[in-house]
Amino acid sequence: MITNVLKNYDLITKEFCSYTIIKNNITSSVPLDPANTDYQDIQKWISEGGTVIDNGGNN
Amino acid sequence: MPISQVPFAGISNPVGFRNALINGDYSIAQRGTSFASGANNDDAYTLDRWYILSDGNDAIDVTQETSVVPTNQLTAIALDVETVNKKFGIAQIIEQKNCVGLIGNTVTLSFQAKVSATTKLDNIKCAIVAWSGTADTVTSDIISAWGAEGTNPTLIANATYENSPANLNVTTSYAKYVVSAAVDTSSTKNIIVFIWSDVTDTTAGDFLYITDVQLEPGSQASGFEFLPIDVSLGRCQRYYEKSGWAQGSYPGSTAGYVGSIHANFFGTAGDAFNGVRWVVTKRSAPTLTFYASIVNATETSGIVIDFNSGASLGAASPQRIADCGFGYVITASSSSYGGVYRVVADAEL
Repeated sequence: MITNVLKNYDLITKEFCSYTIIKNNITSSVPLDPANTDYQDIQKWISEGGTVIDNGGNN
Repeated sequence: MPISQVPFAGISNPVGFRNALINGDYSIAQRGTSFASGANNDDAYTLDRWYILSDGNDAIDVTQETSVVPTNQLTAIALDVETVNKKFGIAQIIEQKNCVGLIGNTVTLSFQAKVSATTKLDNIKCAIVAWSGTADTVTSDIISAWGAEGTNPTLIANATYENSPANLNVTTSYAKYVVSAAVDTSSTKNIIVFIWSDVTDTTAGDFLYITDVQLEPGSQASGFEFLPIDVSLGRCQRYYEKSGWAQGSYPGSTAGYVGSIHANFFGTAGDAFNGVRWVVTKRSAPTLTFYASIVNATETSGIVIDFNSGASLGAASPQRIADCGFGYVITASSSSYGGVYRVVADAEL
């Protein structure tokens, strides 16, 4: 189960590039690929009211 | 079975790579060889490419079996009843690109199985399931309701039984079981193979053993297709790859730095630029889980450590993740020499 989602930004280009998630107590990085099942789970989590943390790259 | 005796199915290559399933002999175990409480939840992956479907979590412990195996086989999967009176099974989703030649045709599922006792585990079933939702976006938990003993579980929307699952009457000796079906559900995109116990009065410690699982085109089952171990590993790595662990060491359970990926910093506290290429290109850009051992403790997920002090350099946040590898700029927070980590790439369905 996803409990936390954070936006990551590329240190060089400053573009939004991936998510950091905590899922089942494991911390992972999820690419912005619609074919990735964790990316799909994040979109579902957001649609169900989950809030993504966005520090604008100042993580 | 000698190649000369392999029956021609008339649809696809009858000799090489006729098994649409991967790791049907359970020889590949990149995640580990034993999955108990916490790692044996419903819908959790276990031995490569195979995941649990069960009525609740911790219904079964899963292990790679190396003793109770058929003659001339080395491995099987062992499903050990942990929580009684629950239905349980295992499943594999076949990627759409590997369903070509199967969808719209007759296919045959075969496998070897046995139980430790038939007193309770007396109703083992198997199914060839069609997925007609979005291709490769399969809801892996295909069970809507497990139902009463002997009643086939109700599947979720877009999942359809292509055969009529029935009791296989599995015994306490290994035997081969064969089921054929036409994959004729409209708009099928993926195929899922599901083998389960349809019993609701189980006894803790009872085992179901399965191996040599094969799904092939045609209406006859040929002999199980043994692949070289490096080929099997490579096929699994399209979906899951661990980088930095030796064979026999597993993510989240390893201490020390042997085999770890090292990234040197520029200067005494500069940035470390590093890139990793997967051994096998992934099905999609994968989810990355970093692991590192702080001063030789058991690994923690999501961090990178300083390879000089062994202290944490903070959260891992790779920036450029692709199906072929990733690029990563690690920022030092002190006078570090470099970063150390291991990483899992997960592109499972």
